[in-house]
Amino acid sequence: MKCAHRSTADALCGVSFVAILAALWTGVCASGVVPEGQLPSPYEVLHALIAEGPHLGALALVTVRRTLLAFLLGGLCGLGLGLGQGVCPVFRKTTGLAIEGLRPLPSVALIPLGILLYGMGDPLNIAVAAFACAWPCFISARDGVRGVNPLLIDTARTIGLGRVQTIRCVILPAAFPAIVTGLRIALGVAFAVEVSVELVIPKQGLGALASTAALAGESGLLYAAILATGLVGLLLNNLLRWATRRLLRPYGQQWSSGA
Amino acid sequence: MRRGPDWQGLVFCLCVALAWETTARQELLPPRLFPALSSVLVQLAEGTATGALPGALAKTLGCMGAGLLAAASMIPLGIWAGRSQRVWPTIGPAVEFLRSLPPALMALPAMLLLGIGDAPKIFAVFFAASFPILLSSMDGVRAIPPLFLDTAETLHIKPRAMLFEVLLPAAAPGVFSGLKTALPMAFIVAMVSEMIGGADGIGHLLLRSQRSFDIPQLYAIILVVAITGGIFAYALCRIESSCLRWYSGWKGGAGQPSE
Repeated sequence: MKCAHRSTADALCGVSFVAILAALWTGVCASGVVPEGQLPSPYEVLHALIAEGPHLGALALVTVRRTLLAFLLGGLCGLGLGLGQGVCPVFRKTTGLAIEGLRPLPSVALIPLGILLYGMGDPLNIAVAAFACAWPCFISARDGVRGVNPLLIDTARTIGLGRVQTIRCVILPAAFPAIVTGLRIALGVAFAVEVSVELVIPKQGLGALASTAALAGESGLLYAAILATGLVGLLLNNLLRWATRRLLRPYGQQWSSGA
Repeated sequence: MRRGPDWQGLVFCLCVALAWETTARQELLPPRLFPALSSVLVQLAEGTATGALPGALAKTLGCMGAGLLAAASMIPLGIWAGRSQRVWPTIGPAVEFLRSLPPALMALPAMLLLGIGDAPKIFAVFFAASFPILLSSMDGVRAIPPLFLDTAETLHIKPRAMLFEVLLPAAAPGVFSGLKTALPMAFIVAMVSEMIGGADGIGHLLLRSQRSFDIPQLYAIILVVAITGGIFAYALCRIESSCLRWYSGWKGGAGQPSE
């Protein structure tokens, strides 16, 4: 009972904070401190959002499709490398330095190179976002495998499991929670980088719409695009959070309750 | 943790470099797109000597530093939110939404409001770095062992001493993990905003060298950016391990706190 009371109060606080922010925003617009056209009023943004609704939805689908493709590609590469490094010490020792050297490279620095190699189109966006989101997968897979309790591996050896069987039946299940957590981070990274690429090369997608709207000075449309992007990001994140919880429920509180 | 040089890794890197050089020299790949490593290095040396590369890099790092400094103001807010029951429920929903926006997107409204120049870049970096710092400072405070806080209360410690001698040091592991997320993100966002609407900086130079088909310079800049990112990661790791020596000892002395 007390708990329910508490959560209502919390929700009220959150809503009123957003309301205060919106009121401040409206006030600033109405007072005319900011010159015309630089900051749209919430009403204008809402208007643009409704008027451009179907268009925004279609662009959001483009962005989401590319994000998911990049996530798939980057995730597979990252997991492959990470598992390889985790399972095979020789592979880790040989490629470790080269990969650690590549990892701090900011993905967006590859955009100009990507334009030369792929031209401006889907492959470029997907390749750059995939490069960015491979790293969280790589790290989580490598560290997940290395963090497996040695007792489990020793036990597997004692009962006579072969190398492949140990990997399949012991190491992979034990590293699974860490890997899933890494995948969740990777999806967020893929989305953010995908939108960034669209900003730089405004051809298609939500980021491209925002970029062209800003250049054309259509502030209402710009803010509507930002709002739509935020909603899509929130949706993706919550979807994956829900999936993570479902997947990790058998692993107990420690993993499934993670933020 | 210091070991000797990683010979195996170095040899592998050398092999990759040699393979690159010979492939380019034999013109197995289109030579316009894949210049030899040696010509990239020559370009790198020239750019450094004329001051074009260091100048652009310094410009970017300056904006990035200003944004990060502004984002450091989130540390006190995070500590407050970690201590108080009310703060997070109030700001939480708004923060969750803003956090799901790709931060580079925020350079656009900033450009409308503040004009083209350094200001939107600094704002975008601030926006990008704020949320990881805020959230992990908050988590850092929440993860303080109750023993520390109870002891401090039993000793009737003054609020000032509580903040500087208990809360801040004990929340430092969280703050550092936030900085580790924020620093690469800040670098990426600074570069994206230079690519969108900048007139200088390393991101702008990168895009310009692509447009003028100065491919060796393009590779040279990517190299510079990767090295810079690597230096950031390394420096932060060193600072962290020297600041948190007590922490790794307290956790059971298992070497450095995880990367």
